Amino acid sequence: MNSLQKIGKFEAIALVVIVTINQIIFNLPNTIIINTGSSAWLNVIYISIIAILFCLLICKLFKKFPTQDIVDVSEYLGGKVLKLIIGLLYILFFTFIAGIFLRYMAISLKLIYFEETPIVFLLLLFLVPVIFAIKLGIKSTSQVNLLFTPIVLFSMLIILFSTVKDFVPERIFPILGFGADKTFLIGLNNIFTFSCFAYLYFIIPILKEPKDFKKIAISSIIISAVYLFLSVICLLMMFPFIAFSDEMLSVYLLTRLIEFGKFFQRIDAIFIFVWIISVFSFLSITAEFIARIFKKLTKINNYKEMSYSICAIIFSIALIFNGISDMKFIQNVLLKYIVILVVFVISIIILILANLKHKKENVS
Amino acid sequence: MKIKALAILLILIFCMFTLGGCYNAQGLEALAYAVAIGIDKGESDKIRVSLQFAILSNSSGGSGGSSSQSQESTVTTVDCASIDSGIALVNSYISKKVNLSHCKAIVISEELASEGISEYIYTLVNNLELRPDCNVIISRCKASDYLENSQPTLESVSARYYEFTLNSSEYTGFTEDVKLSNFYSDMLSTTTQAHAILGGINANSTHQNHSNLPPYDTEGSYKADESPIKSETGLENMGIAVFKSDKLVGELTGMESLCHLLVVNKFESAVISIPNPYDINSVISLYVTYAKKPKTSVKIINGTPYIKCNINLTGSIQSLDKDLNYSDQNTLKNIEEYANSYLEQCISSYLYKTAKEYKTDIGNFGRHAINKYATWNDWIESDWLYNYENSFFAVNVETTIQSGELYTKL
Repeated sequence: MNSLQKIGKFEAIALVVIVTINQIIFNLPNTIIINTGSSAWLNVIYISIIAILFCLLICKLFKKFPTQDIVDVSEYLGGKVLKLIIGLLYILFFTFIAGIFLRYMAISLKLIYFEETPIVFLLLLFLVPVIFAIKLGIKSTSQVNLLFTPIVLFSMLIILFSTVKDFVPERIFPILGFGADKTFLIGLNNIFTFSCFAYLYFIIPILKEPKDFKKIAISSIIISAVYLFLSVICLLMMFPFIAFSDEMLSVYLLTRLIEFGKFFQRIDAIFIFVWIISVFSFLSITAEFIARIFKKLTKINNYKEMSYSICAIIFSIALIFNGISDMKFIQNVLLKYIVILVVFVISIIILILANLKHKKENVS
Repeated sequence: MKIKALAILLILIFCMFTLGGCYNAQGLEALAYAVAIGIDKGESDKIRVSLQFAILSNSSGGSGGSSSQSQESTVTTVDCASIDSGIALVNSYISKKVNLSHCKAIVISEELASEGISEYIYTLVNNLELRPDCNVIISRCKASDYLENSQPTLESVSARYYEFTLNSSEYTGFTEDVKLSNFYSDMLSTTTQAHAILGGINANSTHQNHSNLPPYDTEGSYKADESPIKSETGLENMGIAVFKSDKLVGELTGMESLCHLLVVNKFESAVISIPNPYDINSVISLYVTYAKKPKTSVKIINGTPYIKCNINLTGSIQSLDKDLNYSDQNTLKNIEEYANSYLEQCISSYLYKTAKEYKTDIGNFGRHAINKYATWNDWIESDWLYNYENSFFAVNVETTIQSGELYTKL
């Protein structure tokens, strides 16, 4: 790959972190709280520790393949057939994630501000910049993302800390929430909130310094874990009903309560604006990854011309869902198992088997 | 060719962002801003919804000024099956779209509140236009009458009138600034119950005579509409409306509200009257604030909650007496002791009233008990909200009186 199209350490960290921030906007903290109750904060600490250990394991497994991504590794392990299967699986995965996220944001925006605007216009509003992002390449996308990620992170911190005055710390009790089993055993499923691992599997070939992968992976997972923890604990301490209710955008509920004195009230529009930018970033990055995997599978010369088709597919997927009930089912049930299966089971099995094969070849 | 395409694209993008707002643009003149909503039991339908609208100065032909609103407001009332259907009817009647984004108060009549108001609160919370910081008032009269009697005399903007009127609790302590978000949270909470501001129309006919009470108890003994005030402003917010689940079960007086604020750490400052230790027929006025945050602990003894409250106050004496020397340590200590025992008695009385009479925990004591349970099932099985009526209390008040204000002795 052209070295000008490779990204640096901070760009890579921002790229992974923006995925988690979008997960938080996408209401995943609420899904954790619904599953575990008042022990959600404990569950987040638990799954964060597991995610960090998992991250260390991935770094170790990728050590033998310092310039390759998961598709290359699967080719090494099982030849072109496995490469095609894994490549297609990840294309479907990223397209699905982008599609549902796009629809969810469009529905939320429609509910909050654009009541009379047809949903198609809102979907296109998000997808048109994505076409340009793919055409400009990963370097431009990640640099723009690096510019906006600190703003998005800062805005999240403002939301979380400006609601501190209304916190009731005792709402983190009973400490085991819906039970120890729900917190630690069934609660392990909540690791799906770290779906940013999927992006880490593809990041090595686009890094300027692939040896920085470990630093990037660990830093981004820790930042993601901190933000996930902060958002969960804020929601828990703010709303006594949060474990039993189902909101469209839980973090938006927090923004509605923000006021600085009597003068600055109802500033939620600012946060919505920042989130829209973060959604642009997220969709652009995801679409870029889809295009790159497609290029690997088909070996086409100019993958950037695929931008229209990729956005059209994401657009079509976003249109499949009928309404909020469909979205809620996908968010609370389907998404969890898809992420766990693709990101935490299949990928790790491939990496372990590839390492075993590598070891076996070295011995022989 | 490429430059031409790019230019067209740029023009399209420019148009998209600049003209996009015209798609569903709505001018101010097409909207009617409600500053308060009133909900009563209906006569010809389930409920009666009253909307108080601010009249924009331009449309009323006012002389203008810095504000966009005039002093005038108008109340529209409709009998309907639900709040939204009522608003729809009003929309068609006034030929403007009702907008609730500047609504500062939700007024619900006592009569309706005693039958349960969860249905209306859920609907209002679900409304995106309505701010979560608008106040919930339970009126002792009809909500429509309450709105019609709001006559701002010291404030020109009707929305701001509600804001300032309800903020007075910060320096009187005679009611609590209860917001819709708090009311909704408390209604759904398993550690506490909801409460709201108690309001009413103050008129000569509603004044109460409490001359049988000792002088230090008089001013705190009133509820909304009872205090003997003569003024143009008809509304009075004093006391707290106590709920069990979503039903109104009782009312607290001004002094009981002050005790409530002291216990729940929402007290800011107030002037209270305590008995004069040197003259039983006179009172001493104390300006008090927290010295440090109140501490509350809950122990479960044989299944019964034992609640301990420690309250530390600091204050200064505002009244002046010819026979008292406020620079004398013994005098101050004596006054402190009187203040402590008076407040302890008042707070105990408030606590036992909520537990034994109203059987509802509006002080959120459950939050101090919940950490004693490991899982949610254990907590729900303990049935705190039911068990609260068995509670017994120990109240300790420590008041430190600094001195008088300008003079310490006459």
